[in-house]
Amino acid sequence: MGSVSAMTDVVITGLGVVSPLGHTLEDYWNGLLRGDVPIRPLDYPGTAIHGSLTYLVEDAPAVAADLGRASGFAVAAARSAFADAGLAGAPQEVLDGVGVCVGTGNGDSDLREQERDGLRELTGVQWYPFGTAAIVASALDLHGPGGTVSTACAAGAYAVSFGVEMITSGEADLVLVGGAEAVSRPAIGAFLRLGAADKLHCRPFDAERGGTVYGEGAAFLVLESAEHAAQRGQRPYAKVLGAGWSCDASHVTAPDVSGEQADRAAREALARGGITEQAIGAVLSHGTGTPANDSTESRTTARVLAQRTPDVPVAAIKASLGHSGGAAGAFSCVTAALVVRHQLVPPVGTLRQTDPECELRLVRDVPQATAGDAVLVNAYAFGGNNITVAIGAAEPLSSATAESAATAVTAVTSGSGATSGIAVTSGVTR
Amino acid sequence: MSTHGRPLAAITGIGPVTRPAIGVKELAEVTTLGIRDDERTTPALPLTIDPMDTFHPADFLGKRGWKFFPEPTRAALAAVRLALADAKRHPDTMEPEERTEANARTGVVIGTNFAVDAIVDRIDRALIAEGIPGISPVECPNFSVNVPAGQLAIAGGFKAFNITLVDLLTAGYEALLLGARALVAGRADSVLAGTIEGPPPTAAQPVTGPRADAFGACLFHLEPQQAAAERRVVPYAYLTGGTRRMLPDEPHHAARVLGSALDRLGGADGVDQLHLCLPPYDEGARAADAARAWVAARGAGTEVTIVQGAPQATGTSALALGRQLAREVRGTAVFGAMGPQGNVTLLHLTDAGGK
Repeated sequence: MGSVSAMTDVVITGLGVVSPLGHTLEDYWNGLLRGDVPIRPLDYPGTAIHGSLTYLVEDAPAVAADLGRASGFAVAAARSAFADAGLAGAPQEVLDGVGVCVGTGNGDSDLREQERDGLRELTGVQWYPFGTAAIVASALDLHGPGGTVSTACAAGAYAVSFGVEMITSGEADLVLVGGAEAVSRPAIGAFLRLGAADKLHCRPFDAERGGTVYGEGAAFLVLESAEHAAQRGQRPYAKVLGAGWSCDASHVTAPDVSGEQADRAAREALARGGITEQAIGAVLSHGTGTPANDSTESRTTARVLAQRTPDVPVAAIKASLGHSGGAAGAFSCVTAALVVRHQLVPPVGTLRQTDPECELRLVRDVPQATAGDAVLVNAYAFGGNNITVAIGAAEPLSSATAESAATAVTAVTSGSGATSGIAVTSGVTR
Repeated sequence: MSTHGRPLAAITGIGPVTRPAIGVKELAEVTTLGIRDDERTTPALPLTIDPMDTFHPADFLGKRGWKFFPEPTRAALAAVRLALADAKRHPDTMEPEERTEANARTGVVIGTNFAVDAIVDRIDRALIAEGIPGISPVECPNFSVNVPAGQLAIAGGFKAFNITLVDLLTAGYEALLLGARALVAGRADSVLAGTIEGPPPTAAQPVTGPRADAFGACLFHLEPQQAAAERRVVPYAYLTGGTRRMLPDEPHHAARVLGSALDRLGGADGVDQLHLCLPPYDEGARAADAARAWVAARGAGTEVTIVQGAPQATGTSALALGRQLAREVRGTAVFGAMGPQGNVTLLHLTDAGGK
């Protein structure tokens, strides 16, 4: 097998989503830039969660009928990412070496729920909710390394980090990584029982936030070494610079209010990425809308950004996606790649009155230009799990790119872009 | 990591708290893992859950502080103590500050399939029957499969990282591989890696075999080779490499991909022992045949050991590894686990002169 090489540059060459905002990158990115809030009542008749406000996926791309909802999202998003990376139709000798790493919190919970309801008889290994990586591999005929991580709401970001490791360790040249989550009745029930849900919508960093709101979907990225991408002639969106891992070891469901370990994860991501806070152009926060997470994350992020806190735009995409659990970190990484590509940071669509204790420069109403080449992605979870992933430009930004981003911001803030979406969309199609 | 390079990790402690064995001495004497020969052709048997009646939490955890934990977590907390003590990191032999610092630089990687399966089932059934108020507030946070690993971190102050992997039957070996690579990457000074399991659902019988254990845990203590040498701890073995593959359904294609993975770990010439844990019944038998054919085709004298079935789910392969370590690893060995969806994880180990 290949040798370990922490020096291998790992780049992002394909993206795919199935999301409450839509299932193409254009719909997804434009929805984020507009600050859409596509919240809907959950249709779960006869149960205690019926009518709960949720960020639901509607009209998901059709896949095999016998799949669970999360796996169906995953297969569709993975296919999109694969195609986006120019890999559709790749020969079997290539596919045999492609890895898959999936993060999910509850997996295909819906199949077991339907069985409990007497609505479905399960076959094969449908009783096991965490088979999504194998299902994606089978659907795309991939036979490299596989893995499924379930670090709750940080799982998607961990999947990205593990995919990088598959490449740097020599296990694979190319890896599909991502996260998938679907509405799970026991999970939503548990959130409601814990009193951790906002009755309105997900309001990260808002003074009146009341908890998080469940979301669902799948987000996938194609990772490969920069050398491999260059050989294929594939232009990357961005580069994964590094990731920092840590654990609070403090409380099962609540963050350690000191933020000590979240802080360490962020600094480790910077160090492993070979950058300082001076290079941070934006932060994609975990931003769940729970009082404890957002206040802790505000303080921790401000400590990491230090003097740059007033200048670095901070996004909280759960305002537009809800909290998609194990997929959330993958959505943030997909978004980070788009932010790096377009040098634009989407607004927090539900932000009305910023928590007065929050020092961060939250993006309000309209997108803002990034303030540097690198984006930090935070993901935190039950069990005190923390991860920060640093994602940066695959190559130094040209002055033309920066100028283009500035023009796009001007268009959006003046209203022309925000109404049509065209000005900020054109760069998505590569 | 190349199998010809430096070890990824030294395995210096084993902590089994399972129905077949509690503690390393018992583990070395376990005669049967997996399904028995007379169970191989009876896939229609119902799943029987065997109680874990040999484990008394108070013996390991004291009289207080564990009663609200689910049984798999209790076993895991005890397994941590056994693994640390076996690695000569017994709390009584360390100054409190030294222990706190060492624990803060320790990572946890858990492989599990069913640690919370029964809890999620209870939560959903309570919600169906009684609505949200019917969900036990004590049990509520345990719906998330990573909570048992999180409880280990809270109890021990293990802050380096905390990861839960869930691939069916292979997650335990994946945990060891990921933990070892994290050591190489400098993410921790030591890692507790292994498995925690609870009772599987009845439908899991084609994967576990006709019997399954109610719960159990088996953890390993990993540290860098140099750290073990400095602490004068003789490792059981060195973990020198590993790889994973997702096998195709078609048997010949699957055999080719499996052979390719084994080749990447040094080939038959470089492997004295090949230990495989496979699904019960036909799928596992086909994989066993493919592995034996791979050895035969290379004309090497590799000793092949097969365990079929998984009464401890992903814990069975951990027990197979632990048992062999507790006995002896001679020369080089590959330990493999395969799941019913074609997931394969292979670990390459070399002997360390015996513990």
